Amino acid sequence: MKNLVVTNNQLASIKKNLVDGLTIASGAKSTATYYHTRDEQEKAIRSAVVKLYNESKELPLILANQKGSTGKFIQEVLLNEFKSTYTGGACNIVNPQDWYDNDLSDKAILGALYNLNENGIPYVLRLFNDLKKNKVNNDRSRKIVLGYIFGHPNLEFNALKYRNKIAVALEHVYGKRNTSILISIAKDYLTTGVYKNENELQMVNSMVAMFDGGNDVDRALMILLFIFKEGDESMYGVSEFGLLSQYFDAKKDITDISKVPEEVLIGLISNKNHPQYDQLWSTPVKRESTKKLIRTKNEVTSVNQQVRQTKSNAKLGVKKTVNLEKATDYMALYKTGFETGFTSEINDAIDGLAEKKRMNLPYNNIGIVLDMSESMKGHKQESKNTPKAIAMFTSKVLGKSADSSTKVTTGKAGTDLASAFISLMRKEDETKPYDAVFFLTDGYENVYEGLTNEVVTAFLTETGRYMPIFQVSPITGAETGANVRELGNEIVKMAVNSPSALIGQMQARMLEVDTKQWLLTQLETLESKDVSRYAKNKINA
Amino acid sequence: MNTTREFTDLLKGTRPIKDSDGNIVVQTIMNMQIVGLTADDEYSLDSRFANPLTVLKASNRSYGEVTLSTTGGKETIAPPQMAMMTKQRAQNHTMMKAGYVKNSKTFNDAGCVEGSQGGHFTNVTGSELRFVPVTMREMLLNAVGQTNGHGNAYPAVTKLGEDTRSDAGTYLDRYFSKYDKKLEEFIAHFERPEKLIGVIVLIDGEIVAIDKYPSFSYAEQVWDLLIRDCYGALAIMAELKGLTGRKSFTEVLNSTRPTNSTSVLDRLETALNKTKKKITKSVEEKIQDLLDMTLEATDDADGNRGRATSDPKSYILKNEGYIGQVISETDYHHLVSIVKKEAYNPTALRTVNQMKRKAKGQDPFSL
Repeated sequence: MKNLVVTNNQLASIKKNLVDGLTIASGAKSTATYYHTRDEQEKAIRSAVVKLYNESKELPLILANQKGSTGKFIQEVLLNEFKSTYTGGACNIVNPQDWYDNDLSDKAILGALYNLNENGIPYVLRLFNDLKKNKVNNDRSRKIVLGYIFGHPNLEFNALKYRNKIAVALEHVYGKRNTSILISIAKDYLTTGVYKNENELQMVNSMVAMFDGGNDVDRALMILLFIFKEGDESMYGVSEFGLLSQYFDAKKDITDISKVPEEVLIGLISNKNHPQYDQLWSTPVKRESTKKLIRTKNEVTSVNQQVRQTKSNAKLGVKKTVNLEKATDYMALYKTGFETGFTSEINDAIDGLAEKKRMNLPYNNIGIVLDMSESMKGHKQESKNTPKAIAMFTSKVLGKSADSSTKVTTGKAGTDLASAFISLMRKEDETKPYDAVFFLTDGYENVYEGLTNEVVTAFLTETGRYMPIFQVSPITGAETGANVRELGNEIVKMAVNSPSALIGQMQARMLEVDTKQWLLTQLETLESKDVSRYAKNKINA
Repeated sequence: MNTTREFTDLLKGTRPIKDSDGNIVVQTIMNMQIVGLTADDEYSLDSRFANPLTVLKASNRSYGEVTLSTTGGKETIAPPQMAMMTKQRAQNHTMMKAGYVKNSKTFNDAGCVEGSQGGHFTNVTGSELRFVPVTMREMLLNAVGQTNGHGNAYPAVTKLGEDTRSDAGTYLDRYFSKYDKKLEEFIAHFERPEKLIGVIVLIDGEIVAIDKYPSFSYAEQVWDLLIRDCYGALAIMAELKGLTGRKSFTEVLNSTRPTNSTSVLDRLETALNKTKKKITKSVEEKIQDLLDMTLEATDDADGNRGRATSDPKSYILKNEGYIGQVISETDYHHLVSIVKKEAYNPTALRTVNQMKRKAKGQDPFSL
């Protein structure tokens, strides 16, 4: 990549939008939070993405490639990108030759899609379904959708679990008429073993084969038929289709099914036409015992979901051993801990996960003030204890990421961060002074608003020390700067919904120092990405 | 029948929540402070009264009345001045007071809070039950027992609209519509301490409201609404007046001279403790002023009509500076709700109390 083309005049405005964008990207979700409705958050994200795009079309994609960007933000960025034409929007940062001809644009889009996939398949499918809602269907979006769906290593499972969503996405990109033709070709071909003419072969190649990563096209076509409810049961043998064959078995008898997702099984048995409906689902008591049966047998529930099911398992009387070490969703572990108690297994799993999420912190010795007051439990609008879990896990990850860390927590009765700060500084080892202090808090002080800032300011003034102080707020912000409660001027605030977002936020601070260098680093990272438009099976879902 | 109630008697069994250093825990935002009250476990009747916000259903058949009912024969106390802000094609109403409810109870002194809207409501529950702002309480309590017509609450709504620049007229929902988002955020400003049973609210250093509930769980159930709907209006009014909090810590720190022998942290900690003590002391003084206060208790005829002798009774409390309500069972006070009259200057009470204390200290005449 050649040098950046951005001018110094543009940098100031780009810097501001990037910092604002990073805050939104790492904080805002589509769900309602303590302070903001879902609509408000979505509007805020949309407006931030449009602002970034208008500044320069590379900016939203650069942010969507950052670790810690929320699924909703990435969705909006990709949707916005696909809404515009390939060459639409101004390229003010990178030379357009690099962006278009040297594939930076593709890498940025695919990198963002990979990042979105890290948030979970439903996020990606929601994006594909949003394409339909927004009537977006162009060559780029079509290839992305088909590559993701057919190149996915768990295509069979996805077809079973997300059948309708995938059907909507496919029908949208193919168009109704072509979908119907493709289904007809697939049916004939799978029956006779030959295509009727060259056109049929070309259609299958351009609509399916080129996206399945060189795998078995016959298999892809059979799954396609299943997705559109056109597949005949006899096609799906146990040896080739371990999951789909069980699905057809479950349509007759669900009692011995282990590889069909729980939601799908419940969907089948709750249908009055199912032969076992009267026997297994017609009364609340029968439902409870059937749910228990399904859950006991089920082998395809992800570890994270199993963790989340701990409480309902206890209620249903299901005894299942969950390998907590494999859990990757810290929120599931914390929620389970809050609901059923923090057992040593849960604590070990959290500890292990925090170790895995270690960050590249620019500080060796850090101090942490963790706000454990009542307000951190959250509010009825969001699920209980979410802010607390974010803060607790972030404090763990921070602790693991530094060579040494000291933590002080506030009491339950109120948010007295000022006293906690003094306690923290008293615990400082003189031989290893803190390089930075992190307040993990919602920012709502109780003694009086602004007290912590007064104490911190007095400390820094009287000691003459330079020590960066961060406020990491687990409450997401819908509008930059307006909604995360600031502790004060001396304290840099960040809104995060997970520890990984912290790095993005810190980068925001770094980009304030040298925006051009930051942009260059990001673009070089994009350039080195090992992604390809047609080999989507690298997506590790 | 009129009797009197001592302030100390009304809040008996409770005490302010203090930190480990013995300071009263005072939570502050702008010019507003909140002090939590707690009690021993035996005086928190957690299993006695059901959650009013989930068990109560409000209906009416004529304007100016509200029938509250509970399911399954449960008893509860409807929190002070609860309003029915419904989406039904019906006229929103408010209670003028708190009310003991078992099975069903009709209150005939309720008031309309939605001007010209017509229609009666049925089974209003959950999020359609709101608390009216604390600044309306005085006018509503003054109208308790007025069972003629349905306009009892209009003056209070109109005044709220003026105070909060919400152009409410006789429509309380206009106020909520304008400030709901701000009020929602306001909840997070205050922590609900564990074992909270009541609250004392101060504005500009003067006590303006006191609420005591039947139990810790009852206080927890109504906390969000109490902060958001009821006390939130005070913060909105403070913001409209451009009032901000003082930098008390910096003032204290600047008034102490650094010495060579004390470390920076010692100095800061000392100043912080002094700041907290200063806040505590000022609150203590204000509470102290109320300790000698006596209120006249008038039988709330409308609230007590149809009650069994053993049921809790409602009384309206009044003196020159404060107005409120107590729901008592014999001498046990389940719910106390008192507000300062807006026109009242508490320094007058301070002078009266000083004279009272002097009088108490005088020896009887003798030779």
